[in-house]
Amino acid sequence: MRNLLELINKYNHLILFILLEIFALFLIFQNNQFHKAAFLNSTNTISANSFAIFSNINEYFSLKKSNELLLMENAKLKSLISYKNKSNLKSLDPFQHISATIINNSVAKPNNYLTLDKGRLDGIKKGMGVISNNGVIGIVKETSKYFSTVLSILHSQSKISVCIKKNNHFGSLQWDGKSYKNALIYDIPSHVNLKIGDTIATSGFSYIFPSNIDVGIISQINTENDDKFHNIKITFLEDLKEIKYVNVCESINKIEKINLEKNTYE
Amino acid sequence: MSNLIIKHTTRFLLFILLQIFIFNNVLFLGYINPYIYLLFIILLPLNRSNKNSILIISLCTGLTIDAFQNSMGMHAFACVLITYLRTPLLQRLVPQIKNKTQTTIEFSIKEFGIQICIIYTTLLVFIHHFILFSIEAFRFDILNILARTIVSALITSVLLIIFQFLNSKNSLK
Repeated sequence: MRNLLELINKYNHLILFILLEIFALFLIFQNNQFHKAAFLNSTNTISANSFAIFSNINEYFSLKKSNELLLMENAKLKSLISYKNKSNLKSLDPFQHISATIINNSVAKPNNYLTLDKGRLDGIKKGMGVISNNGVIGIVKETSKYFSTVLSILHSQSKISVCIKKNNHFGSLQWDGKSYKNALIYDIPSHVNLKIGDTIATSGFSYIFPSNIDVGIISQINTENDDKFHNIKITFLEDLKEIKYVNVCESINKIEKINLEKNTYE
Repeated sequence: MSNLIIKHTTRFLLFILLQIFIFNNVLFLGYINPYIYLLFIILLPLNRSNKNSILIISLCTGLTIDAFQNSMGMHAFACVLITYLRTPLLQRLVPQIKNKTQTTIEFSIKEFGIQICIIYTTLLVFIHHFILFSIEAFRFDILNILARTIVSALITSVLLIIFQFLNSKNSLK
């Protein structure tokens, strides 16, 4: 016993070192399994609030640019309204939108997250989609009272259902972890005719994103003759590094749709 | 002693704020993110009496950076590792340091010379970045990891050496 105590005393530095490293590894693995502990992510009060203050200051520097963007969006919306009035169609977009500001963003890591300045009290729930004027941003992962974190489209576990706009063939979009400007598209059969410059849009098959939001354009097609599926690389339309204002959206008919599909499969 | 604590606390706050609000938004060439908060860990005192508390301080530093980056434990792991390796590394570089263990040893260009400073800083930064990027990628992709490590570590070390150099010039005046 005494020897043991002496041993511990002698190597206390090494033992502490190993214990701390095990603690850090424990945190890493817990995070990787996506059972993240509620503390120590960027929705926690201190870090989220300080991000909010900092982005408040930062916003002044980009006021002009964001004004222009808002004007453009306004114009687009106005034209949509007039179109709808004329054609007297029922709403094509059964989605509820909540606008939010990004207060923390990253694009350079293999797994990226964003933080938004709206939370549970503003009606944001886990699993809602996050979109911008021209693109998909991600899916809400965690919410706190006033803030929420978003699993970015630039995350190894994000997978989004998309289609080729001109012929509605659908596939899935995934990020390859390299540049924040590009992503890959899988599962489009190789008999489909494609060319560089075709637009990719969301398919709307999931309950998360509305259909027909342009995501990107095809920038590269590397398909061999005997491949069953195309190897497509796209360039995002949205600059995911510069983006500031987003919409969080949720399908109004989501529950109805899920229940109907569930009954069908049973 | 209390003077020392105040000095390092200020340094801690300064580097954490710089890192989170300025350097986390800096991306050289699109993906190189310099981690200048490492200077705080490199400059922590090196004496034998309180080396356990210094390990814990570096764990907390890493966790703070993690909390702001959603990376949970990755920075903490790398920080504790380089803090542990600091003393043996410096003993290799400057063997006579073993004899003066009683007084508080603080790393600075003035005391150790610019050559030792460059080797010591660069080595620690390389180890930290290699471990960090390996954990971050979490797959066996050694070429990609090495490429990222070498480029990012070079930029971080250059920044840190410039910081130390400016600091030593200030203290001479």
